[in-house]
Amino acid sequence: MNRQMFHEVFKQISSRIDQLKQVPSPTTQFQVENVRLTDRFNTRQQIIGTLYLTATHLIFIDPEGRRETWILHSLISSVDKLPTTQQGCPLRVRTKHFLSAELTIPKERDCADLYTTLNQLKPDSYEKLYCFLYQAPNYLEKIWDPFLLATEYMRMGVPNADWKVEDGNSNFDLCDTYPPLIYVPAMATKAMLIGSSKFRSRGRLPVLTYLHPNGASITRCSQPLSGFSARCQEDEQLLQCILKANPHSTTMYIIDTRPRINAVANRAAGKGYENEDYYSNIQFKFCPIDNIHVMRGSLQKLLETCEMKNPTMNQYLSALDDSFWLQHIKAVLDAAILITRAIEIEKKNVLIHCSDGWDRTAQCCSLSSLLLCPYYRSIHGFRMLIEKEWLSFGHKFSDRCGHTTTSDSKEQSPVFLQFLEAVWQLSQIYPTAFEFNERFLISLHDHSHSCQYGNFIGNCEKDRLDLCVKERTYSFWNFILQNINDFKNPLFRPQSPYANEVLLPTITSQTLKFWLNMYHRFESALLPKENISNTLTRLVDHTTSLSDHAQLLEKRIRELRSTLDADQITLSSSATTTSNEDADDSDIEKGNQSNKICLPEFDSGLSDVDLCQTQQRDSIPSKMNRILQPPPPPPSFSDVESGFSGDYSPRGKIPLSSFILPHQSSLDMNDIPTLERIALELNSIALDWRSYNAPVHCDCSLPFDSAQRKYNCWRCGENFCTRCIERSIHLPGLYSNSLAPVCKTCARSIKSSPSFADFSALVKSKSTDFIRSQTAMKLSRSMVDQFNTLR
Amino acid sequence: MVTDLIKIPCVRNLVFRDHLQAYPESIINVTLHNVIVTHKQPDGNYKELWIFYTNMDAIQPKFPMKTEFRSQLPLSPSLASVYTIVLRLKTLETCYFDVPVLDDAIKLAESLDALIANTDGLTCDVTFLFPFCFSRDFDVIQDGWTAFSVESEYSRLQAISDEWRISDVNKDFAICETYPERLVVPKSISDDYLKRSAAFRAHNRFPLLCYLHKSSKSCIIRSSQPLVGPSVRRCKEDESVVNAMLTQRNKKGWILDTRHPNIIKSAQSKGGGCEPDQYYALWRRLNWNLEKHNLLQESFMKLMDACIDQSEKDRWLSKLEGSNWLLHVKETLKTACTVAQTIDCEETSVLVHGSDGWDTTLLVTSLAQILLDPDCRTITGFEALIEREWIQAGHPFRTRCTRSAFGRSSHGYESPIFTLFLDCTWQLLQQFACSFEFNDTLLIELFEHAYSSKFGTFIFNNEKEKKKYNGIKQTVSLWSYFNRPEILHTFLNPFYEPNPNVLWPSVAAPSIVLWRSLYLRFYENQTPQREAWDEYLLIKEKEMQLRSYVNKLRQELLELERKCTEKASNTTSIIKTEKDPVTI
Repeated sequence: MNRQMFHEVFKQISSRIDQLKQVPSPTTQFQVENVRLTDRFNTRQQIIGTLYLTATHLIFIDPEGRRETWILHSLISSVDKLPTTQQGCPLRVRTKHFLSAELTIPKERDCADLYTTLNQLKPDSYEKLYCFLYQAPNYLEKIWDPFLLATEYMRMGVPNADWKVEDGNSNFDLCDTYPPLIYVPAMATKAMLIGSSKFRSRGRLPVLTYLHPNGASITRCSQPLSGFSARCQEDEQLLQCILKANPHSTTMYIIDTRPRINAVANRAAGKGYENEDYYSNIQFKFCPIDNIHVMRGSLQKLLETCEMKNPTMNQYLSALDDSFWLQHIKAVLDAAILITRAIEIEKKNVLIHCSDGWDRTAQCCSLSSLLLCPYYRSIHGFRMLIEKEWLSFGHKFSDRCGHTTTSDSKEQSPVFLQFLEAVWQLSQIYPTAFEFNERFLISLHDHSHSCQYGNFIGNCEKDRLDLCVKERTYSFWNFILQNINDFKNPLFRPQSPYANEVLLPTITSQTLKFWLNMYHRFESALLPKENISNTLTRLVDHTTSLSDHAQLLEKRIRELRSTLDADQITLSSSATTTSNEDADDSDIEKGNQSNKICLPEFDSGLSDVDLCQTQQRDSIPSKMNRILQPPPPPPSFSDVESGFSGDYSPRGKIPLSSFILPHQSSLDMNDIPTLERIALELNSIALDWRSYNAPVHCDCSLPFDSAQRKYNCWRCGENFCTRCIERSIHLPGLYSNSLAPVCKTCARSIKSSPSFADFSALVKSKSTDFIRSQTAMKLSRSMVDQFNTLR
Repeated sequence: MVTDLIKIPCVRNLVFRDHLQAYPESIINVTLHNVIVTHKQPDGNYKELWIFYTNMDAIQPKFPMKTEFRSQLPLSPSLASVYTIVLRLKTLETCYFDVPVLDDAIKLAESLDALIANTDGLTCDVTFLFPFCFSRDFDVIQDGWTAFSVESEYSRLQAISDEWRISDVNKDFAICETYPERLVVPKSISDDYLKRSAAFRAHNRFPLLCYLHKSSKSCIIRSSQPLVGPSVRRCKEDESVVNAMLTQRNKKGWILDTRHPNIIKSAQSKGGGCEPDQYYALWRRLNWNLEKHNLLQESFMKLMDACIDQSEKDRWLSKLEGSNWLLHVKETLKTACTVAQTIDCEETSVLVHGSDGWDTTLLVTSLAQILLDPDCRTITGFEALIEREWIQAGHPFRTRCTRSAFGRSSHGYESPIFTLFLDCTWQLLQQFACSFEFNDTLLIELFEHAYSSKFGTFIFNNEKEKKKYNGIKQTVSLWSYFNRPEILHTFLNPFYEPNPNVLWPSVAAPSIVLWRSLYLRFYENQTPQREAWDEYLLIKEKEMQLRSYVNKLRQELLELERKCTEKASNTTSIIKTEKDPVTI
C-alpha cells in the first residue's frame, strides 16, 4: 500500500506552480517540531516532521524534505481538537478541497496556540482575502480580459428582431444582483420590466440567458411574490412577450426547480409560484431539486463516508447511499435534460426559477445550455457559461463558499460543486465531447474556494466592481490560459457528433459514478495506480513536440538540398535524392490512407502547426461560433516555408487562436544552417519519452504517484515534477518558437551551449513583439472589434 | 429431439426491442441450434441476431401486457394489444418480442421454455450442443488444443528450478478424474506417494504445484481438502508430498483455507476437514471466508436485478449493496493479495484449498498469479493461465455456467466463480491500466464464451470428459479463434508497457467499482465509449508514426549533412565541420 498519503496537497498544478515555487513566505509566525501527520488509511504509519505557520499557509514538511503539505488558510474549512493521546494533542484540519489531515502536536500549549491562530487567521472581511495579497509568479500578469456579456449574446445572435438589450440596470437600480445589461423580449416595455422586477423576489425579473438556433430560449428569474392571490399585470405581460418571442410555439414552460412542497410553503411568506390561471398559455412544471440546506447536509454525509476508516464494502455503499449525494446530482441532471428536451424537441421557451434564482436556477440554466450548445463544451465556451450564468447573474460565491467569517455558515452550500460534478458525470458519459478535462473542473472548484484569484470573490457583479477586483487581483482565466495544455482533454474529438450536436443522455441511477478524483484525491493509495488520462496527455504532448520538430527537420532537409543543388551537385546524386524523397512521400501517403492519420507532408504549403491551429479553431465547434472565429491564416504562410519572407510580418498581430502561439519561423530563411546548429537542434529534442509508470521519484527526490501530474522534459525525455520543469526556453529544435517544458539540467546545458547564444539572440529579436502580445490577453481579435463597434 | 420441442418455427411481424431501440417488422426463426431474429436497421438493411439455445437463460411471458409494466419499458410501441415475451440471455442481454397474435406468442414462449430446459448443463447430452456441429469457418494459425501443453509449462519451470518432474501417474485419469493426465510433481516424490496422497484428498485432488515465484522460489500449491474426518486421520505420504513442495526449508509455509472455520468443522464431521497442526508442523493455517455456490449465484442474480432495474422505485446503491457482489470482489482480491504477499514479501510457500479445490481455490491461485507473474498479464499468458488454472484444473464449467444471472435452476450447482475471477481481473486492469497487454474486450469475450459458445473450450467439466467425448477432434478451441491476428488485434491495450513488478492493488472499498462495461453494456449506450476507445488508439498510433517519421527525417538530414561536409571539404564552403556528436 502506498504509505505516503499527503505527499502533495496542491495536486492542482495551479497551486503547485503558484505557491511551491515561492520560498515559504518570510513571515513565519509559528514553527513546531516533531509533529506527527497521521495517515487516514494506515493509522500505524505516521510521518514526523515540522509544522510552519505563515501568513498565508500552514505547511508541514517531513524531515527528508521530500513531502510538503501546504494548506492555504482560505481553504481550511474546519480545525478541530481531538482528545489528547500519549503522543500529544491531535488537531484535525479539514479543507474545502477535501483534505483531512490529523496533526499530532507534542505540547498542549503549542496545540492551543495553533488552534487559536488558525481560527484568528480566517478572514473577517473581503479586504483580508488572499487574492489581495497574492503575488503570482512572473508569467501571470494582473491582466483581466474584458469579459463581455455582450459578445456572448452576440454569438447567440442577440439582439435580433425578437430580443433586445436593455440598459435599465446600468446602475443596478432594477436589480442589484443582475448585470448592467439585460436582454429582454423586443416587445417588452420599460414599465413591464420595472413592474415585473417589483413583483419578483429581489427584483430578479425574467431575462434571456440562452437562445437556441431554433428560436426557443431559456429565460431565468426568481420566484414571483404571488402569495396566495397576488398578481402583477406587468409580469404577466412580460411573460407573454417572452412567449411571443419564439415564433414556433404557442405555449411555454415555466419550470420551478423546487420540490412542490417548498414552493407551496413559500406562498405563506408572500412568495410562491405562478398561478396558471393568470398566465395564459403556460405549462407549469416542478423539477424537485432540494434546497441549499439539504445539499449542505448531503455533502457533509458524503464527506463522512469518505472519512470512514477502512469501511467494509457494504458499510461504504450504504453510507454513500444514505448521503443521497448522487441522487441530488441526478435530480439536477434530470431537470437539465427536461429543459433540453423542451427546447430542442418541443421548440418551446422555458422560464426557469427557484426561490431566488441564483442557485438551482444557475445549475439548471447552465447545464441545459451545456447540453444544447456544443460551444459551451469548449474551454472558452465553458468559461463564458460560468461568467454568464454564475458570475453575471449573481450566484453568491462568497456566501456559498464561506469566503469570510462574516457570512452565515447556514448560507454555505455546494451548489457550484454540484454543477461541476454534473458536468463531470456528463463527461464520463461522453468522453470525447468536452474540450476540458477533469483537472479543469477540479481547479475551478478549488479556486472558487481558495480566493487566490479575484473571479469568485463577492456575491454578485456589483460586489466585484465595488472591490475593484479587476485592478487589484489576478484572473483565474489568465492562469488557465497560461497553462492551457494541462486542462485539455486529450480525448476531445472536435469532429465527433457529441462535440457538435445537442446531447440528450438517458440518465438512470446506475449511470452516475462516484467522483473518486474529487473527493479522494489526497488518498492516492485509493486511486488507480496507472492513470490513463495522464498517459494520454503525455502521448499528445509528445506528438506535439515531434510534429513541431519534424517541421524543422523538413525545412533543414530542404535547405541543405537547395545548398547542394545550388552548388551544382552532380546530376546523378541529386536524382537519387529526389527519388528517395518521392519514395518517402508515397510511403507517408500510403500511411495516411490506411491509418487516416495526418502526417506532415514534405512539400505541403501548410505546415503542421497550421494544421494544428486549424484543429484548434475547429475545436470550438458549432456553426454559430464560426461567426466569431477569425478567417483562416492567409496563404502567405507557405511563402515563409519557401524562404521568401518578404511581406510576412507577424508583428502587431494578435494571435489568431487564443491558445496557440502564432506561427513563426525560427530563423531567417536565408541563413544556411551550420552543422553545429543542426547538431544543437537535433540534440534539443528527445525522440523517446520516458513512460509515466516507470520512475518512482523525480530528480528532486519527490516521490511520484499516479495521481500527480508529471511532465516530460522535451529535451531529455525524462519525467519531472512541476517544480523541476522550466517553461522559459525556446528549444532550437522546434519549428515554432513556443516555450517548451524543459528540465532544469537541460535548461542549463542548453543555455550554456555555444550555438545557443546566436540562436536566442535571433529568437529574441524576432519575437519580442510577439511575446508581448502573447501575454496580453488573447481574446480573439474579432471579439474585441465587435465590442468596440457595440460601444 | 429438439425438433419436437419447437412448436412454431417462425413468427413474423413482431416488434423486437432491446433496451436502446425497437425494430418493428422483425421475424423470429427457431432453428436446430439457434433462434434467429431478423430485424431492420434504421438504414434499411436487415440484420440477423443469432441466439444460441445455450445462451437463453430465462423467458418471462407477459400476457397481456400490463399498462403499468409497459410504461417502464423503454421505447415501448403504441400497439393496442401485444403479447410480450421477455428473453433474458446468459450474456446478460435482454430481448423483448412483442408478438401481435396470442396463439403465436404462447407457442413461441412454450418452445423457448422447452428449449431452455433442454440445454440444462447437467441433464443434456453434451454432444447435442452446438460446438459439436460447428464447423470451423476460419483458418487456424495455432491450434488452441495443443497451444498450452504441460511440457511447455515444465520447460518454463525448469528455468527456475530443477526439482520437478513430469509424471504420468494419472494416465487414463487413473487416480484423479479432474486432473489432466500429465502432471508436474516434485522429483523427490514417487508416484506411489502421490497415489496415497490422492486417496487422502477429496476427489483425489492431491497437492499440485501451480506457480513457482522466480525471485523467492516459493510456490503456490493447490489441492482439495484432506479427508481428515472426525477421527482426525493422518496420511504420512500426503504430509511428505506437501512438505516436498515447501521449497524454502527454513520457513514455515501457509495453508490457506478458503472456508469459514464453522464450515470446516461441519466438513470434518462429514469426513473432510483441514490439515491438523500436529501433523503438518511445517505449516501454519489461515482462513479466508470466500462464498461460493448458492450464495454467490444469488449475489450475481441480485446484482443483475439491480443493474436492469429502471423503475427507480428502490435505491440503486442500496440494491447494489444488497447484492453483496462487490463485497465478494473485494474479499477475493484481498485473499489473492495475501497469497501474493506471502510469496513475494514473506518468501514462503502457500497451499490453497477449499473443499473440492476446483472453485474458490482456483479463483485465489489464478488471481495471485496475475499479481505476481508479469507473463500472466500478456494475452498468451492469460490464456495459458485460464487453460492451466481453470480448464485443466477441472473447474466444472458446464455445470457452473448452465444458468447465468436470470435463470432459475433446479439443482443449484451453478455459480459465477469464473465471472468473479474475470471481474477481479478487471478491477486490476482498471487500477493498473498500463500493465496488461489486453483490454476489457478480452474479458467480456471470455465471459460470453464461458456461458455460451460455439467453441468447445468451456463446455466440459474436466479433461476426462473432454477426452471421453473426443472434444479435441469434434469441437474447435476458443484459443484457435482468439489467436488469429484480426481477433487478437481487438484485444490489445494500446497503453501496454510490460511491468515486471508485482501488482499491489488497493482493496479499500472506494477502489472497488462496478464493472459497467460488462454488466451494463446492453443497458447503456456504448457508442460514446467506443468512440473514446477509437480516439485512444488514434492518439497512440499517431505518436508512434510521428516518432518513426522523425527518426527517418533525422537520418536523412544526417545523410545530407555528410554530403555537405564532403562538398565543403572539397570546396571550402561556409559550412564548418561538425564538433558535437549528434545523438539520435
